[in-house]
Amino acid sequence: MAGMKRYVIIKLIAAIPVVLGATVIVFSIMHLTPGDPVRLILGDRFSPERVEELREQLGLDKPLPVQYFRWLAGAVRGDLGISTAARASVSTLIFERIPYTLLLTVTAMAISILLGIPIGVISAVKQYTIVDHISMAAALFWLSMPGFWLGLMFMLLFGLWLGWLPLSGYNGAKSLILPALTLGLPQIGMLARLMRSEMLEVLREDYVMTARAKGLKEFLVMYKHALRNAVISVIVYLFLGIPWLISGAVVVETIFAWPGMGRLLYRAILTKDFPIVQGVIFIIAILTVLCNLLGDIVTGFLDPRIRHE
Amino acid sequence: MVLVEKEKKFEFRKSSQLRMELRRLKRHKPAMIGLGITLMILVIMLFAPVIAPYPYEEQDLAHMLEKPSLEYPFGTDAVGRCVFSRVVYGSRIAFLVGFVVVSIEAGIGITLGLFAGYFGGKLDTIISSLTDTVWAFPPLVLALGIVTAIGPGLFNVVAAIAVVSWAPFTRITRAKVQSVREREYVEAGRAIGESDASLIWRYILPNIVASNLVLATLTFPSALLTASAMSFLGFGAQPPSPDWGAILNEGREYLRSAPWISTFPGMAILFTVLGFNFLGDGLRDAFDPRMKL
Amino acid sequence: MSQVLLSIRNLKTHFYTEEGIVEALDGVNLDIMRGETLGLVGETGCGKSVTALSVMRLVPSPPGKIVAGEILFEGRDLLDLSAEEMRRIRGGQISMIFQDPMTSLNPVYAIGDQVGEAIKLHQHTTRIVTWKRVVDALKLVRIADAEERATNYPHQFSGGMRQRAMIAMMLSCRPALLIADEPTTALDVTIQAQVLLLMQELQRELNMSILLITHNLGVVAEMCDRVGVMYSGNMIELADVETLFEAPQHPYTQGLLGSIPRPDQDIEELEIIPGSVPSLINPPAGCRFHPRCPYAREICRQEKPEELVIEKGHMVACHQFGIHWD
Repeated sequence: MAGMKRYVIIKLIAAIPVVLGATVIVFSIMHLTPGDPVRLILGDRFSPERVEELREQLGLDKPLPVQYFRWLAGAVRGDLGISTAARASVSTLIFERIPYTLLLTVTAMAISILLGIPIGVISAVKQYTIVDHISMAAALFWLSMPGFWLGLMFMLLFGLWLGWLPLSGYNGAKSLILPALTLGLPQIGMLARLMRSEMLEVLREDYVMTARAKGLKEFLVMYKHALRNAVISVIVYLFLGIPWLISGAVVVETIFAWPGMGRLLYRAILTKDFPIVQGVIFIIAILTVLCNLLGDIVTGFLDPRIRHE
Repeated sequence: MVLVEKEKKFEFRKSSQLRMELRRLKRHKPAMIGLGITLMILVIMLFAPVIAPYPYEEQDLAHMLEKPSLEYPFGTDAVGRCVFSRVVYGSRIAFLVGFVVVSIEAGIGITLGLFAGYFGGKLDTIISSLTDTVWAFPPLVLALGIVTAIGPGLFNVVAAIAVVSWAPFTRITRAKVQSVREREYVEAGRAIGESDASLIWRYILPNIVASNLVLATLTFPSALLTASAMSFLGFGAQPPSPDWGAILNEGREYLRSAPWISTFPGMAILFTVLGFNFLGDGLRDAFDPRMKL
Repeated sequence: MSQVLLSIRNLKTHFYTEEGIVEALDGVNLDIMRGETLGLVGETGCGKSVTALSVMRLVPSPPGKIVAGEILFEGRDLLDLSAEEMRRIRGGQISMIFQDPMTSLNPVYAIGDQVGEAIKLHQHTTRIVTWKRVVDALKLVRIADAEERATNYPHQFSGGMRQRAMIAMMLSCRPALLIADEPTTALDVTIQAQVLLLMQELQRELNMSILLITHNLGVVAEMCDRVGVMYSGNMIELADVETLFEAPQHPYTQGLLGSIPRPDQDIEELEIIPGSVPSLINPPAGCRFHPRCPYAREICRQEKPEELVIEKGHMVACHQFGIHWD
């Protein structure tokens, strides 16, 4: 496709400083905020010598930039340090769990797409009718939903009262249902609203009238001409929304004891396991940059005006 | 419906335009519902000691884990506290948290947006890239990171969230400032030697107020949801604080035996967030329909 | 084969809005002959575009609705056709091009694909044949390097080329009638001339009729055989071009022509028509022009004037020419 290769390369190169910027931010958060990490780990019970010893061991006595580069060098090689609580490699711990989080996130996204996009399109096509009003009210309702509460209510209803679905852990497909619904349902609201608003804007465009003037069937006008344009922003939103879904997964995994990266983060915060917290946030940061990049690439793919700039 | 672009010489809201916008707002049914809900919660918050039958921390070990009844409308929790009273008092925390978070976010965001939009050039590039980079990350994750370092607590959570979520305010303010900056009356002011500060104060600030207010109403819900989520995880308000998220967390282990403990505070959160979202929607449709989040 | 290609009788199109019912067209009558160019002029809001959309049955349907009238195309009433039948006519036998070529083309599809869509739809051709006809169509509208240009996207074309591409798209199926709604208004003056010339050439080649909607009287003088003047939802005068310019009869037309600066005449002042265009929601009773007309009398306030033929081919809708005037 014309201009695509060049576009992708430019975007890839532009992503590098962002990644570096992200790592600086992640690192700063962990190390520039007040509080002595060593004391937080050890508490007050240990002697000053022991504190200094641990500090040296963890390399926390070196100046910050040095610490940053050591950590960065390790990260690039795939070594994110050692967990202070579990005494295992942070990378191993994280990478064992990423698949579960991805499974959850992707399923939740699929749910939100399968319902959100059609609802948004139909609401736009049938603007001002009762279908539109009800759908948008429902959408607003769902996007106001606190995910953690929804998860508990689902557990209550489907797990405890009806006994239909398992409550915790990973036990095959059935155990995926509740967590995925909890994570995905609120997203339907946002997605439906966005889809509707983009569709409405596109339907007002002149080229839609042109398509009708050609004698095209209304169905083709809607989907081949209108939707094809409206969906571009929505798809970008979907990609940018992946990090937000992962963020929501932290809560959902905690509630349902889902063995993913989110739950790992939660436990690590509780135990003040800095290397893991740092590592997980770092991975999430990389994923975020990746998703933004993918979003840009897909936009270039879908909208010829962008890739010819 | 025809959207009429108002060709105004000065973009201050003349009283006639304000009246028209307010009329538009009144006709927007969901917005009125939202306003009603918000006002209701405000009343509950202000008159909490009157509305709540018991103080929120008062324990009555003779009435532990009791079902909702006339005496205890939402039941009691594991140490015999009235859940209804706790939820009522929790409204204060919810409002306070939302308000403070949004205020700090707006403060940071608007200031940055003003500088970026007004001075442009390198300053703009730096601020914009910083804003876009930080905004790409989900605030919950970053806030969790901050809280890991500085420790739990409601104040820490509020600060953590506010410090990573200023982007929408910067974006809107910057856009508005850029559009106003090029107007002739600003050029005229500059030509007669008016200082930057005076120009900003007299011409630019009044124009950014409305949009930022609408944005504030729209970001209040996410601030509340994120803060509640963090309290739910245990990193926010600490016991015995009647923060809604915290109460939900307390109710987790009694989900089977006493589901009311977790049910009602969650409904309160949903209700409040819904109210603000309805209201915010209506405000946006009335004052700045083209604003996209 | 009759000379009359399109015959509009008593067309009324209303829009149902929050503020009230907008009577955009209030009984429009119009005939277009085969092979002729009929101009339709009037100020913004007089109903020219609504007339065009009504013929194509493209009036946005809430809030608009064709409430009365007939539109006879080659003998058949278009308003009686099913949606399916009408679709076959659109783009195939009656085509329409719009004002702004920047926004009238879909930005995400290549020009060739968009033109090809029309060809495939009406001529049911295979992919290879379609593409060949696309290139032919682009050559027909004098786009250089047609094969390559067909793979380009709209944003890679200039304004004039985009309008040519639109013309290619809409003429590819050799319609009998082309409706052009302000086709050159959004273009630079020099490009305007080129596009108009192109339209004239194509008209001769395809033996096509054109309904040319414009507010630019200069374009009318160039292109049209006959011209109709619309005001506030009605046709108020219809004549051939020379007659209209030299001896306009309706007070509104006179005002319109008097307000154009003319370098060939020694004019002291430009005439203006006092007052402003009436609201279409509560139009004036009787003749809709009477509040602004210097010759208005009692009858004008009460009765709507009929369309009177004052001499061959010249219609005026004004009480001055009625029997009861003097």
